[in-house]
Amino acid sequence: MADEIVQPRKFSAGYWIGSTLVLLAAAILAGMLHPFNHVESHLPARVWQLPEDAAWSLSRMVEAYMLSLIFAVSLGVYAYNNLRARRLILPILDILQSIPIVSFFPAALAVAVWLFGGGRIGFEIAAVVLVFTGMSWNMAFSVYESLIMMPRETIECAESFGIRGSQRFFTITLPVCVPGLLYNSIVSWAAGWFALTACEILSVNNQNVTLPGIGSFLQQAANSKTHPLELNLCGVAVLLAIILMMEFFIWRPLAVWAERFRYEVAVSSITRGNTGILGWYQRGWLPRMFVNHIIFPLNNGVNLVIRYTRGSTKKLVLPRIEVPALITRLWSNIQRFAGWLLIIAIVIGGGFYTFNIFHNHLLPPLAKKIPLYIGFSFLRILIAYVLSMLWVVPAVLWARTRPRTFRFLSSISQTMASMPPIALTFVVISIFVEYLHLGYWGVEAAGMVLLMNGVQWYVLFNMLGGIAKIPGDLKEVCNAMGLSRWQQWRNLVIPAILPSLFTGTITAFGGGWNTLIFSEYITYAGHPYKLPGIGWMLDVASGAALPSSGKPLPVAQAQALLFAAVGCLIVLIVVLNRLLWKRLQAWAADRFRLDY
Amino acid sequence: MLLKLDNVTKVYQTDGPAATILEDVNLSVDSGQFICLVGQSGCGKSTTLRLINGLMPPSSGKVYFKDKPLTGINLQCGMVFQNFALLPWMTVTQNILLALEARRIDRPEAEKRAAFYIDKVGLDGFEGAYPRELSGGMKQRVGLARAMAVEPELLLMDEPFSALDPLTSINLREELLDIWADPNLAVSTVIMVTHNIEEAVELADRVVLIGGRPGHVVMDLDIALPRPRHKNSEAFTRYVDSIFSMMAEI
Repeated sequence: MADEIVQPRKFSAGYWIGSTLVLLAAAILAGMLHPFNHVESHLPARVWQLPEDAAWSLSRMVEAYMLSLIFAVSLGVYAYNNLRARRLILPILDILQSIPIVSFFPAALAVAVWLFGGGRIGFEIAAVVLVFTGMSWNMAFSVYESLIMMPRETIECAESFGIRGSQRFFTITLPVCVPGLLYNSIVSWAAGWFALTACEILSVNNQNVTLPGIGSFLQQAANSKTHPLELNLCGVAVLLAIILMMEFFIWRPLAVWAERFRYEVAVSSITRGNTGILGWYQRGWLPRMFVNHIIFPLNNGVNLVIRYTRGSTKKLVLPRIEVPALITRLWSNIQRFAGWLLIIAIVIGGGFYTFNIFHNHLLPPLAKKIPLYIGFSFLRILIAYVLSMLWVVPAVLWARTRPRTFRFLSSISQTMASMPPIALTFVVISIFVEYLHLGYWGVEAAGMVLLMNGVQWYVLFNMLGGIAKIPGDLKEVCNAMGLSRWQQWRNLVIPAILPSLFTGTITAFGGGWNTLIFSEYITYAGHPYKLPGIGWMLDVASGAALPSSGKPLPVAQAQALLFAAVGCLIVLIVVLNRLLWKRLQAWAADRFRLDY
Repeated sequence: MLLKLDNVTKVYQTDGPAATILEDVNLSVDSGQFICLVGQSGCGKSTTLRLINGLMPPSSGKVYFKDKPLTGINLQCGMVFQNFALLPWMTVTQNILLALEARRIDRPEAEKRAAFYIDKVGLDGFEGAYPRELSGGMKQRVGLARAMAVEPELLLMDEPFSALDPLTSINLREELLDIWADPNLAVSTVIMVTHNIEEAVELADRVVLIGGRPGHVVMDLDIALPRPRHKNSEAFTRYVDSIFSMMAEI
């Protein structure tokens, strides 16, 4: 009824802008204090460097995650508060979410190198930004969606009691977002590990720059001429250990803790389970010492400062400055038309670049094949999707009544979604190409396995989530009516998970487009295997792969190719999303909603 | 006069044709009164309450609080919500402190007040409990304590008992009357929205019936019954009947 009041008062974005600036300043400062100027183009994979490599990768991931968190919260809150901005932000996020991460490479590299020079710090920052581009979009969406789902009475209550500003932000806005943000953080970390290989080996002006890390280690290991298998196994083992440790020591306790931020009472079976670690964090002697001797004094200090400044601002009467009406009007107009200005800038910039491309004949001959290759790639994703569905649907239906299988499937989907494709190449190539001698179709099969790895887990955990959301009373009534297993599937389970299925399908296709750059160009033991497709073309355009001629493309041509290929891909993805997926999803969400 | 609604009209415009919910609502409230707004669901009684709180502006007409036109949220009001509107991640005490801190009340004073009102609504022992550990009646007690802790000049209640089971709501109604009659407590004026006519006659000094499309004040009835009121008395039934027959006529 009361739609006007759903819009809360303006949130002071100052905190987040401030912290972003501080972070940026810290990064620049760190760059000046610690200039790495030595950049390797090729790092041999050495086992004894693995711990160091892992530490580097982990730190990149943490930095990218922090950046994503700040970005997601500020953008999500902004989109929620600002109806006008929302209409622009949401579709753009939608596109950004589904275009392959490689599309961001030239921009990220150019900016980082321009800001920080060609030293290592520039490439480090570029790598962090690239991981960020793989992490942040879904988190921003989740913040926005959590806020939209907030009960109206909560907003009215906040308004009515005059809870606003930073108090509102920390006691209401942020907590509301916690469960969704946590779930999406897990997904984002998986996506981050997944993309790490591509982010740690950067190509500038046809020269490779290799940053030490577990992603580049795996890549080098796969290309090691002496011990590819052993090195690969070591790398995968270390990565797996990190992922499992994070799952055990961070995500699970956090999931249990985050339950309190949920509005609905139902506890999903995914998050239940091990509370031991959380209990230890809350009551164990080591965490308690940490809290008592570090956190509390810090907290008290901060509180003292806050109280002091608050006390002083109370007495301080700020003079009212009359801002000239012209300036305020100008400012509000800038805000109002900022989105349009942005769109116009993009269109004009893109138009100029397109003109430049055609005027100077920058497109390499390869560009003619873009539509064909997109077709090939789309077909591959479709096959991978169908193959995934063939095992995911029965598995999910089977696991529905078996909690242990259910939990096993959900933890395996999280772990496996984190595996960079490079970690699997040695297995698939040795099986399909070296052992079975299948030739081209062997490469095709190997690529398909890699592609499936980027597709199936999304379908799986979305559908598991859908299963977990089926209300208990509906299950009970079905049992009480004595419906057979098949009748229950047909009449309850399948309709109930259809919305999640479509959501899963959309994310799976996004994941598929992202995986192509790994699955259509595979190097193993120094030997490159390529498949004709848009993923390979993007690899060529970004300098990761060589074109058929064997000579790298000139930089201007490579950029033009990347621009054209990504442009075509965006058009296709947007058309598919608008015309097909979004409609199906909206239909399913409306028709099979579980509340009435 | 504490509150005055002067020809208040409210029009909603959500995608589609504009819907006039309230038209020319006039209402005057003196300090110390207990008023119930009754009417069928969708008649605009909750909207009236939100206009009084300043949660939304009227489309035309004015709301005056102490002879001053209302321009935003009226922080001299305390609101109790139908579905409690408690934050699930905060304990009973924290939920109440939040409202007090929003008014820049010093921490020690706020803690003292929170403890006092938790005791008043009979929740001592549950200070550290989370809302999900409480029953519906206890949750609404927290809502009541929160609204009273800000010591409002006007207590607004939006169907506070309709999400509760009958027995709980009977108990809570009695306690509400005790609290309202308690001279030590700041709350003296109450406006409560309900669709339960008997509840209105039991509690209120004045029952205001809102009805029609668009909604307006159909009936403004003083309940001249001594307290405690007995539901089976003839006078009580007469009041209930007259309101019901008026509702049927709309």
